[in-house]
Amino acid sequence: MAPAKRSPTRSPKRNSARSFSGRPVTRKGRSWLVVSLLLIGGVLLVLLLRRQAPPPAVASGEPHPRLPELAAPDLQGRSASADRGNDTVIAPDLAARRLERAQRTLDTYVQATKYPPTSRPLSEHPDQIEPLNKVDHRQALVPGGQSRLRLRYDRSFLVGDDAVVIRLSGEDSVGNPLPCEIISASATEAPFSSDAGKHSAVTLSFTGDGPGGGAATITTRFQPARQGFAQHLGGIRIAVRARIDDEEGATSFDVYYTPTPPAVFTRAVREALENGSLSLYLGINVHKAGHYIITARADDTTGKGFAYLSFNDEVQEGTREIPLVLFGKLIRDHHAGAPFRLHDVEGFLLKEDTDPDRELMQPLLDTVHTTRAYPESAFSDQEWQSEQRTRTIDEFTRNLEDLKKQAAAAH
Amino acid sequence: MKIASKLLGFSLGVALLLIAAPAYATHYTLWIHGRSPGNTFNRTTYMDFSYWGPSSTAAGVNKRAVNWDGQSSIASTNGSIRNALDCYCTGSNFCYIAVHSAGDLQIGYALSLFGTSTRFKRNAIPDSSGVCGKTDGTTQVGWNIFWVDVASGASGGSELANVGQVFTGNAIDTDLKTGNARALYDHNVTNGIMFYNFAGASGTLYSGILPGQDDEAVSYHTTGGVASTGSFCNPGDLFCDGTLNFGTSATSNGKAKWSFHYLQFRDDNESFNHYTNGSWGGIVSQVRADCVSFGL
Repeated sequence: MAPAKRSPTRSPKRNSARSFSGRPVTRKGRSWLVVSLLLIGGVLLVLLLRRQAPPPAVASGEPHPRLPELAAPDLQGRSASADRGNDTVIAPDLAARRLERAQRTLDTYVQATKYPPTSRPLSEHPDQIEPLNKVDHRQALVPGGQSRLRLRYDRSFLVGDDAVVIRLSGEDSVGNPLPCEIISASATEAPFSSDAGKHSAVTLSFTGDGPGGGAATITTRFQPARQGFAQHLGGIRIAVRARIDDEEGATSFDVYYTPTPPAVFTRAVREALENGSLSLYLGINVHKAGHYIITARADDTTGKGFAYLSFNDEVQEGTREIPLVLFGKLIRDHHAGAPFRLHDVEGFLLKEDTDPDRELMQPLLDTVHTTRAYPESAFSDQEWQSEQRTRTIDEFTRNLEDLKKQAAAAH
Repeated sequence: MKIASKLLGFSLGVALLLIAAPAYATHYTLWIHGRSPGNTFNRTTYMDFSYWGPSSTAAGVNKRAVNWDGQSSIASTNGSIRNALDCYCTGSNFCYIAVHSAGDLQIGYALSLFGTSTRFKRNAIPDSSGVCGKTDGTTQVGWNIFWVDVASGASGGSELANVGQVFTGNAIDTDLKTGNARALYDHNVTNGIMFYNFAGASGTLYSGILPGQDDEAVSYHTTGGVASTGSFCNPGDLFCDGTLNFGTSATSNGKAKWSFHYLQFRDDNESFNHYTNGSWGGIVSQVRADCVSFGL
């Protein structure tokens, strides 16, 4: 094992509080001498180890050098890696590719963080534009078969008396409809959940909308609270055995259910123009304190969705307000005209290190609030700033500058 | 007394120099593995690379193995992933992250749901339980991460889990169902950290179940970071919904990728499968090479 070395910036021994306190006054001069020598050593160490600092020792195992590990990588298939669209382009040299990666890392981060994490463009969430995590999925019913089962359900998450509509249909490999017949279908607690096996499976009845025994699309409506799962928190497994044309096979999927929500939206919204952004304070009655994640969408005055808002923090029990912020620069960059419409609000209590890891709130699936009208000039076009952003950009920039020096030295 | 005074003055000068000197970061490469029921990997030293291959193999600067049980649910095991991020990716330390298969779900879950949480700055020295000491008791928001390399990422789930083949018998297999994997967290929330996706396509055994190109465990819809399921393929392949395009571009039939997901490697030669084979093999070989080249 190589001798342990410590980063000059993080030596646990350096500047130990004990070194500067609790010593007899008569020994102070000697302490300063020792400190001076340590500091001189520290400077030399800084100069010697700039940017090449190995990590601190670990409980076991070897420390690895900070220098780039230049063992020749397996380049099989590399052409595809380097070529993003034109197979005839020759990969640039390693130094240039490192620069490219570091520049992209920095640029992406700077661009991504000009808005806060809680106020994002809706387009950035392509699978969250609509609420409830709807599913539309096709897959083979039997290995290598010619038919596909198309599975659609209109929500993955259910609360209280919610019901999910499940649609199954058959099609061939290019999407032409084929008759589909359900052999069996049932719902039960998802395996490995705390309630698994508590109840016997509940049979689900599907009805077809096509002629004959094999309908084009068959549908069922499943309401956990009235079909045996009124006390179940967590996943519910829907298992289906189906026949499409002459192929028969099985599949299963889960929906997630919360019988009693841990908090309830009051629908009250207070709006306030603050620091060049529009804060929408959403009323909530919290029955269980904890870490809540709340999301919402916002449209501009033309009805175009432009913002995806979120809250991710602790909330205490009682009547509270959840701040959802339409960030000024987000409004300005999208030329989004007010009044804005807040809609499709979802939320859950996140529970750490346990499964199931959430208790769902009843979502608000319509317009929750329409704001007052504001001129665009009411909003700031300043980028978001935070210690996290500054810290990260500083390091990414430093890394890029180092690589520029390396690249220059390589030529 | 004069000498002592001069020494004191010199010391203060040196101290000022030290303060003025930039606080350079130490960089680490964390490797988070995938599904591996029954594994006995060491979870506290961060030096057991049994899942991947020989630990002597170069795999990015200051590589560390973040091991979990490989069979329980993401929700119940993610605390150990966050603990490792606290260890090596806070304070003055910055990380590169490399993940395989269900490791994609692990890092995605951590960043999406906890990426803006407040963390204690820690010293990268794990104790016997794998927890690192606090540096000075101060905190920071989120973790310090350059980027995430994803080998055959399973955060979009696998049809094998849907039909109860291969991925069955463990709690993690519930998370690996396509619907569950995609609903577990908002995959678009990475806090600006780029996910570089490496997608293998040498699968044959389960091609009858897995849509489009696959690596024998997962399809391009997940390994390519596409925000919807479907059959996505290499250019020129027939009978697919569309071609999986490089970078952040949508598929040829207009299906968007999750934000901050960038297809870095597509297996046009159908050469790479899902499995490390105990030697950093399969699609992991490409991610390892990438970490060696760029994890500095």
